[in-house]
Amino acid sequence: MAFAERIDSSVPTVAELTKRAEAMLPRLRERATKTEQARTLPADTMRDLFDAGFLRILQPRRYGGYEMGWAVHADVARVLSRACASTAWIVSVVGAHAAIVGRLSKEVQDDVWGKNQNQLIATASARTKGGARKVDGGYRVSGVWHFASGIDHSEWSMVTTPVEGNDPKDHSKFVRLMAPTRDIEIVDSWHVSGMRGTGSKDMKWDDVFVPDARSINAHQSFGKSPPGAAVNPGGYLYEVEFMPFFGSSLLGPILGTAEGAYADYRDITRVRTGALFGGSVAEQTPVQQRLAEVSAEIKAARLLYETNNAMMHRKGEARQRFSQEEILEINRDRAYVARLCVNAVTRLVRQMGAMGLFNQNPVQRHYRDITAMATQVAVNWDRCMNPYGAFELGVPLGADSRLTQTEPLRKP
Amino acid sequence: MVMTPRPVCASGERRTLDDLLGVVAQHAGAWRDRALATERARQPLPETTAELFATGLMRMFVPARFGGAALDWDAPVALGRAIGRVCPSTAWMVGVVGAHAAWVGRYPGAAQEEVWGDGADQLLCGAMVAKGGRIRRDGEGYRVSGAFGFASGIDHAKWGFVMGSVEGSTEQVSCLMPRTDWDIADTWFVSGMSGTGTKDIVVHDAYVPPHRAVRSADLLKADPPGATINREPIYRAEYGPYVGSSLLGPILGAAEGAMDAYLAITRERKGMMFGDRVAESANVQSRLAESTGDVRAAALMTEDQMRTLVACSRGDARLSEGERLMFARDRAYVARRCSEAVERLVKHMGASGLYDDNPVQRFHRDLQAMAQQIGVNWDRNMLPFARWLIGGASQDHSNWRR
Repeated sequence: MAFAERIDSSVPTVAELTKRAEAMLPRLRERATKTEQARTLPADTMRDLFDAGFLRILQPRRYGGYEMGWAVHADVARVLSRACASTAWIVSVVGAHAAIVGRLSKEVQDDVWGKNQNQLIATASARTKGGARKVDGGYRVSGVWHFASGIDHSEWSMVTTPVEGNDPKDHSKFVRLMAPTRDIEIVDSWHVSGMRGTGSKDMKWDDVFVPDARSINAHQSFGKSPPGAAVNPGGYLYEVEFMPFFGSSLLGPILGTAEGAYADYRDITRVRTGALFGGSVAEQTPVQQRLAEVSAEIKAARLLYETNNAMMHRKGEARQRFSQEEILEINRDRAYVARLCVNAVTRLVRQMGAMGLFNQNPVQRHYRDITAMATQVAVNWDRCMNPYGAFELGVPLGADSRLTQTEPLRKP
Repeated sequence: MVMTPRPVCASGERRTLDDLLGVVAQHAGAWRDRALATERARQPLPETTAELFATGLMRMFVPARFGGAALDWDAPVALGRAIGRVCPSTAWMVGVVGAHAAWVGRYPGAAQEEVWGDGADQLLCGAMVAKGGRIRRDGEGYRVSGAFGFASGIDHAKWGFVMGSVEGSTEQVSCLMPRTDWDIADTWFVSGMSGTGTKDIVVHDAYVPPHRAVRSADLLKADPPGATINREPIYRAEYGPYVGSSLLGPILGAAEGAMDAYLAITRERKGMMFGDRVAESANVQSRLAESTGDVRAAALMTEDQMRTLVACSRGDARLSEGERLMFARDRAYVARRCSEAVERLVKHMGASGLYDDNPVQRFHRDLQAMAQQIGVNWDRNMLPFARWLIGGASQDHSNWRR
């Protein structure tokens, strides 16, 4: 990765980061049950992530970050999720928020990283009620936003929201607003079936004032040359259109979870004897066949993941714009990779018998985690598949396609 | 037969893979137009066969000293894929039958002189399934008689080889015989890949001298007899890992061709009952996207396999036991992804998808036919990998391919 190759002794290589991630796996495995029960990352895991530098991968160098290329953060998360998908999620999906902040004004970046460069930044876009009202010198924000992963450990929080008086469906008028998390109430709603450790709780904003300096139009922040491009010259992620990259962060944890489930399943099954009749489970032909099929599914997912990330990195470095077709294909592959991984893990867990039901069984946890991750809109099957199909067939794309690009899509 | 022998050309004029891909691009339109006629003829058309020779496509694996291109292992896959996109049967001629030249290039020099001495343009058919055919020892050589099945392209072949066990032993031999030693039994009435003309070879009680009858194991291992004269990797590297991979080209190409054809039809198609535009159906869009995702995954796996196999054949890397089994698994997986991708589309084309001249259904039938091949057979290729992986018994994959 070209960014990492720049000579700077404080920036680790990708290989070094991978080594650190592998070294962390035993600790994460040990803490996995505790993490689930706590429904948020333990403080010692957060300290480990900061110490290893995993949350600086997409942080600007100006603020002590590594400013690496796409998708080093997801690659590191892929390793971590062999042991704990929730921890990986914080590194990859929440860690990528550093790139968003790196696209904002210098004032905001100084606020966030000026005093302490170890920052996790919580964001939320999903909202059932509330919004922002423009007032003199800023916005007043009230409402409840959902799925703010890692908010227990974040000093700063961001919401994406419509502004009163605008069409609430017109995404181009949405704003992103930053506030210190201490100004916001964290509502512990995170009682869930999977990805429990991410602590993706609700943010309750109660008439919080956000000055103009901490606001930005949502499209401007993800579009080409946002304010941060001048603050952090050299890092393409602060300069190019961000939308094509955005949704792919979660593939690292998804793929890694499938790989983790596979390895755990294999190790358990190698020595397992049937609980009713004895006999080696490994010698059963259907068991063998499914394992081979699963391994092929995961390999196909890995090849798609690696090929597309390499393509995105290449285009990012060259500051090339993505064509519509490329964006739709990236999205299609994203859903496709997620489905391959979910199918793979589902196949494994179904084959474990009642042993697979216990919470201590790691395959079962991987299964709940991957099922939870696959509900994310960025890998939603219908939303990713239909626009690609419509494009290929030359008919107008449905309304869902607005998730895929900052500008409305047109027919070729 | 329309082919004319061409003079042996100097090695400096050897065709590259890019040259040959360019040739395919030039002829693809014509081969697409002939696909239905090829299928109905149940064998390669003479004009197509003439083009395959004239353009050098069938010399892909002919040794350089006979005027061939002696290309690397990725050639049959790349060419088979490109041609498969318009006509899988023609792709099979190049990617699978054309690859037989590498097999013969591993024979002793005397056999090669007999086959290519008069000219490099030879179609070499091969039959590996005994249908009552017998191979017996006879002095220094072997005596072959009876029928052997699945000799693709046999109508255009002047040489053929059969492979089978020698009576009274478990030893396998590969016996190469001129056209005068055998006849063709036309058994090729089939549901798919009809244009390959994969008929039976019926050998009259023929004596095969030792230079044309070689133990399969000696041809499969690294540095077979022919390696002393043909120094390119395809004649020297251990052959087993490569055999099944040549199927991937036509398979992948057929799936891509089916996507092309489906798109062209569906972009315009209106429902016959109600006149609605089919392309506007959300289900149609979703299925199409899923199928293109399947094909892309299959393509990446195929390319991954060929990159590694080429590196190994050049001696830059060595295949471990696990990798061999993994690639066999990947072949089965690629075939399944491709055939399911097309099946998903063809199932929903309505009754207009039934007609012979609908290319999507032809690609579909061709894919189903290719997926029967043992090199991509699901059970056969999935289980050995799993057994290796899980560390259990692995005795079940001791077939000749290894």
